[in-house]
Amino acid sequence: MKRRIPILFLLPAAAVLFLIAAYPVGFGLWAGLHQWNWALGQAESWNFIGLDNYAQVFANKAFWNSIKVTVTFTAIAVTLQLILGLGIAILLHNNMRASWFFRSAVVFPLMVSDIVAAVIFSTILDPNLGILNYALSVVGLPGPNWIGNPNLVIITLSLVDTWWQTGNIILILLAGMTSIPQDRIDMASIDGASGWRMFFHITLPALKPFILVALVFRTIDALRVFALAWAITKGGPLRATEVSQLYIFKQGIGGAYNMGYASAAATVFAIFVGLVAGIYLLAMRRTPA
Amino acid sequence: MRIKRRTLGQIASFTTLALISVVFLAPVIWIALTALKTQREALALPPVWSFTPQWHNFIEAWQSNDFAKSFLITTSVSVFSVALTLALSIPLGYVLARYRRGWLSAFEVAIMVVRMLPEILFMLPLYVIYQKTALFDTQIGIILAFQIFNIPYCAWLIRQFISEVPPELDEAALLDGASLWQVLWFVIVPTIRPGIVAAAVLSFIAVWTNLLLPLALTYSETPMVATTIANFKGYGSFNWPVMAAAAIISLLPQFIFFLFAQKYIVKGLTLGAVKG
Repeated sequence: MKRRIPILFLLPAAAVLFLIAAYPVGFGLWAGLHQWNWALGQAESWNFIGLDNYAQVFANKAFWNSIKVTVTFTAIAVTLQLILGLGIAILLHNNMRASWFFRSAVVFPLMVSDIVAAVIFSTILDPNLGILNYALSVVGLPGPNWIGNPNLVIITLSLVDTWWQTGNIILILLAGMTSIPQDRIDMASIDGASGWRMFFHITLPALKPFILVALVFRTIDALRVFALAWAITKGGPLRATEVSQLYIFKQGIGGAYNMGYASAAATVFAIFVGLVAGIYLLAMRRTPA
Repeated sequence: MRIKRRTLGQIASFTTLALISVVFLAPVIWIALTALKTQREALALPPVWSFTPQWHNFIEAWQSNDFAKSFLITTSVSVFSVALTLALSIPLGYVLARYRRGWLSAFEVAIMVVRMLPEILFMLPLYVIYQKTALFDTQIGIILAFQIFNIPYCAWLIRQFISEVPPELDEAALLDGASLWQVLWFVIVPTIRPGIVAAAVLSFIAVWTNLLLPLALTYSETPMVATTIANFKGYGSFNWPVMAAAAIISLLPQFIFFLFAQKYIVKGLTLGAVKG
């Protein structure tokens, strides 16, 4: 049945989204085609330069560095979270009686904001005054400079993100596990399957669509990381944690005010994130749920 | 023998879970302890375990760096932002759930894409636009900005819940002479209350915790909790206990929601996986 759409249900939300999302993005695209550097006194005037800003973005080492840093962070963080999340979800699922408390404990970090996570870990990871390196020294291990070592710091941020967001994956996988029909598990155990075989032949295949969804959510979120880098390291040392959103923020309203260039960089990065999302969504369509 | 192996396995996995829980909770517990110490005790290594709780750290945190002001403003912004989001996305969710049109699906995909895009794409131009329209550093400005991400999320969540309500319910009410607004308010809204609670709680937390939006669009007139927390860290020789106390105070709303609305939070976070 084809009824008339109640346009008044749709219009207010659509109007707000147009004004606050679509129009600004259009304005940003237009700004990206202009030489518009407020630091050079061009706040009130801009010059149309076509795709020059885009050429500069693609030629800029710092921009590519930010992409590399962002992708490295995402790859490490999401991989760790997926492995840990899968392990913990299985443990929780097999210990239903105790799982209320344990589930709450591992999900609790999700309630902490990224800026508070940054505050917490800035104190814990401090190389001289932090509790973590002290604890390591007690058991005789050398405490690395978590935040000051440019080769290590991106792993540090990935670990903080893992503490913060693994609960997300656990919740999704737990929801997936309760959806595995019990008779399939019973059948398999009658056939003598147990432990690892059960895991690889029953649990994992049944969980595949849920793992994929968790992967998509976490990847898109991790690519947009900002607060952890901004608050723990300010992007340093030596741009080692200058993730893309932070790089673009600094180029634009976070200090340099090179608005045309920053707008172009934001567009390129948004397209990159959109492409990753698109590839994932295609992969999900191919996997029958 | 079999039974024995089984109990051993259970003890092992129980212990593992307990250890993991400690690892996940320890950072927050540590910062809560830090909030109760003096600066000297907070910096002491080996750590001080027995100390007189310095409750006044919380008062000091509340009174410094605009924190109290930012707490009240963020509360107000969160409440009004969530109200606006719900008012706009419940009707939108209804249309998305009940009607089939090509352009409607295109619109749905478009708002889902908006939700995935990096915030900075919107914040650069909004900063300029807000400066020109006097929305910069105002509550209305930041409330509007949060709609970019919260309307798509809530509309999608609510759409999933409405899809589970049989359309016959709407039809019956319509035949009885109800208007579509009445159907929405008296039939749909009461039926999908868990979905609305989930949407409200999760978008409240999103407003409360986001850093980049207030960092881009507010300043001293409309300080938000996320940015004032960052300021505690910004000052040269910062005071760990007071900063920790501020961090703990800022967790209060989430803590309350976690205690009383965990069911809805979990539902909201996992629905995407179950519905695909």
